[in-house]
Amino acid sequence: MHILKLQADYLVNKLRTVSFAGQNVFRNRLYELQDREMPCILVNFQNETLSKDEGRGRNHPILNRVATYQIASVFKVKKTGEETEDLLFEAQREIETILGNESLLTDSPFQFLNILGSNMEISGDGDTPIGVLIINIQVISKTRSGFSENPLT
Amino acid sequence: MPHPALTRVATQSVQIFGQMITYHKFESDSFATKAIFQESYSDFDANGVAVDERTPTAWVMSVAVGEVDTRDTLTIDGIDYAISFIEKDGYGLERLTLRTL
Repeated sequence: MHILKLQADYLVNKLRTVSFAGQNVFRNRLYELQDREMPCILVNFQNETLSKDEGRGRNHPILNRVATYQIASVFKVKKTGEETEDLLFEAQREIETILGNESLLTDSPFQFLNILGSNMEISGDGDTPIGVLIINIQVISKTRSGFSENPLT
Repeated sequence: MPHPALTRVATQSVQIFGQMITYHKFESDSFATKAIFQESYSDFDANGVAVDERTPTAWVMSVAVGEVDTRDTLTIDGIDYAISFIEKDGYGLERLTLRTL
């Protein structure tokens, strides 16, 4: 399996420990979210950049890999705008706690994880307010060229 | 100013096609009136994923409900609604975007 799949699966499994989401963590979700599936977390791969690690051998040089992912938490709740925002802040606290924990890196397919930032949107246009929190993260890993399925530690 | 005939058409359409609802004025009386009630699909995008949502909407006659306050409520088919947005259509009707209480 490609390292990106390993990373995405790893993130999904870790995010399933977030209290509000449970099993409602979806990777690259395409289709409409139903009420029974919320609150939920959506994990989307964004992009990856590769660079050769300087000063290493020519055969199968080490590649530095930097991948970015978006983690979106979606809530549909009968609450005021302020209460919905509080929910999203609490969701961010919980996700940051899990992603920032040292133990996350143990046996992970990456060496570092950085939280790049977040943004949120709350809509009262429909019958029930919908709040979305998006956290952008970056994961850094290394593989040898041609061996994208074997992350180096 | 809209042509009076257009205003008559708009208000008559509520009279003919509307259903009876109960309108509750904030800190005042409740009364029965007619409204065209609609529950349309609402398009919300959560980071590229559609969210199942609806937007209940009621068209009421301005002359029947008077000045609308977002603290007014409506009871339609036994369900209580609050008012999220008010739009005057310029032809004597108010389009009320609703949310269930």
